[in-house]
Amino acid sequence: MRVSPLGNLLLVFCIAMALASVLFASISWAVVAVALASIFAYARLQFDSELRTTKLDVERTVLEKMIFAKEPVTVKVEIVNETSPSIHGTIEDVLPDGSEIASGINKFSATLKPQTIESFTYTVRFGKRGPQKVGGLKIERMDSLGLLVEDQIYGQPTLVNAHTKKKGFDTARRLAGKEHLEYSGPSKTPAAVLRELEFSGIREYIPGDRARDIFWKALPKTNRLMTKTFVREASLRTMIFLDCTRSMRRVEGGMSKMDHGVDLSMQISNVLINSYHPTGAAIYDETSVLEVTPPGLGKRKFEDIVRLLAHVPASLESKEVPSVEGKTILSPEQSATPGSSPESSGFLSAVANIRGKGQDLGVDSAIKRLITHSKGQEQLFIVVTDLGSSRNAVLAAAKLCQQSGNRLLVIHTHDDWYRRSEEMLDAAQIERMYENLAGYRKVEAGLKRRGASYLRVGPADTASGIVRDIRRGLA
Amino acid sequence: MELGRNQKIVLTIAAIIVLTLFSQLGTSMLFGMIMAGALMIIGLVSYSRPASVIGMMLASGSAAASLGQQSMTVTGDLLSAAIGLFAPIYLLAWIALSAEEEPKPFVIRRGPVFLTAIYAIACLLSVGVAAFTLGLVAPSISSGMSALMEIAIVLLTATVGITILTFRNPTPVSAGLAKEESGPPET
Repeated sequence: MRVSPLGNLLLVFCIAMALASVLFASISWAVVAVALASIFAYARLQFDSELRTTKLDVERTVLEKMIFAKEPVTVKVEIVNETSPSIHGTIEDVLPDGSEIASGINKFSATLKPQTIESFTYTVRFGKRGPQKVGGLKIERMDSLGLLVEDQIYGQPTLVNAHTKKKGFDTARRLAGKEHLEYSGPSKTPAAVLRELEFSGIREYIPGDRARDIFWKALPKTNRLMTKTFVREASLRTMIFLDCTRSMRRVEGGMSKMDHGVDLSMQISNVLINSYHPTGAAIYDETSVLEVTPPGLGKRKFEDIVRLLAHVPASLESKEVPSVEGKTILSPEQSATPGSSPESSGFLSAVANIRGKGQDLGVDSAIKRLITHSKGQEQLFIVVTDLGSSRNAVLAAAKLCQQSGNRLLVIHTHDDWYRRSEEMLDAAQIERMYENLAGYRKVEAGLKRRGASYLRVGPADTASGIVRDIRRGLA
Repeated sequence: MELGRNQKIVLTIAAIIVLTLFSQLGTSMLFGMIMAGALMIIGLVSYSRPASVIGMMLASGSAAASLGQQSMTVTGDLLSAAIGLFAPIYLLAWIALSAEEEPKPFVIRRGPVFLTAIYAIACLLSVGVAAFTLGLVAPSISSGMSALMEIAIVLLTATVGITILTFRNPTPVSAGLAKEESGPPET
């Protein structure tokens, strides 16, 4: 409870009266001081009593079903004053940090009459992706004599999940019509949706070949009949794993790796689904797989993936420059260890210890489970990771894929490329970046030795370019 | 309970008259009292709380300077202080502070009224109680109680009392756990 300027004036006057009584040795001044102190005490007790008995029922509704970062979201608030006297004050629906009002007002002076519904609506723009806590309802109240002020918060805050920017969805839709990811190879489940035969090569004519497959243009040049060969375009079950570990969530001034990862996962999954590859997605952290949606086809599957990606944890702002550390979790061949912060080393060591005891943790255990249940069918696993906290798990997954004849593509969000520095880099920072890159080159070599494909991406890399790279590397 | 503007003006005039009657006002103090009354009435008419509060302060100062109260141990003086100074000043302060265009409905609660009454009575009777106690323990000191000692007792009681009354902070209303708003995405 705060004392208002008027209350302070009254208190100062009261003290002045008390001092005057001592100065003039007259008790009349002291009686005046007591009278003013009494009115102040009464105001305080009365206000305290009012605050204690106030009961408000606050109902907040977010009208949009799908909430995007940087897009206006309509919030409707209904308040019912369940106590008998009216409540006067400045009402404010508290917004999360980084958000701004798009239209309407979330703060105004009002009188809440008893047993009456008061409602107001405003639109807010959330600044970033991730869970956002809207509210509760803050009421700044003044007592009836204007001497005291108190802020009170009523109602539960509403937790909403803001998805990535709408632009990412538009890109996903556009890419789905534009890009196509072909895969030619044996498939145990050649679906009816597979449309075409893919050109494979040319060989000498063998009696019995279909006339339409004969390569007539080569006849005048070679004087021999040649036949075009085709393979059936098959579907490839694909699972996209998005790394949600600490290092991936950390943002150091530049673009969020996590947000870029969400956009890439969504866009690549839509391209794959539209190319008739059953696609699923999963998000994982250091210790477990947080959520999974199994591979499938159709618009509903893309919606499932979008819903899953809405639960990706928010990025963590950090000003700290990461140092070279984290050697405890590395295998000997990766001596350089870029991309982890000092505060996470203890946590990573603990995870490494549990992994050392043979516990199944992280992405490799999830891939192992999927391979076990695939009945020998070839699968593609795409892991979007910064190779920070989950580096060992990704390397273990690559080994697993190599042993089981599956494919692994690691899309590496390179930490240094996402970091934005306002100042010129000094020699030490450049040295550190070089060491980081050298370290990641060793990790890349380790992955390639295990038969995995590797793509190093930065904030400028788009899903379109990545799909083309995947096509070149995997098709 | 809500008093109208005219009722407040009448009460203000009554309080000013009571203050004037109980005080031994000189010309300057009478002028001050008239000014105070005028300011308060202007404040009430124009719904200006600052004007009313300044008027109340002026009236309080003039009355305190004119009353010349010497002791709180004598019953007559005590009644004079209570009725002729404390009650009108309290009333004037209450009226001045509620001089708003849209006065908030004033709900009188028994608890605060009771506690404030006890506080005021304790302050006014503190000198008498202290004198009685000292009379039992040390009769010689009790009879020679100076004005400054009486003032010290009153102010000490007032300070301790208000500290006790305002010690408790209202329980902050908990925001509680966040309620999740979920809806199926439409892609």
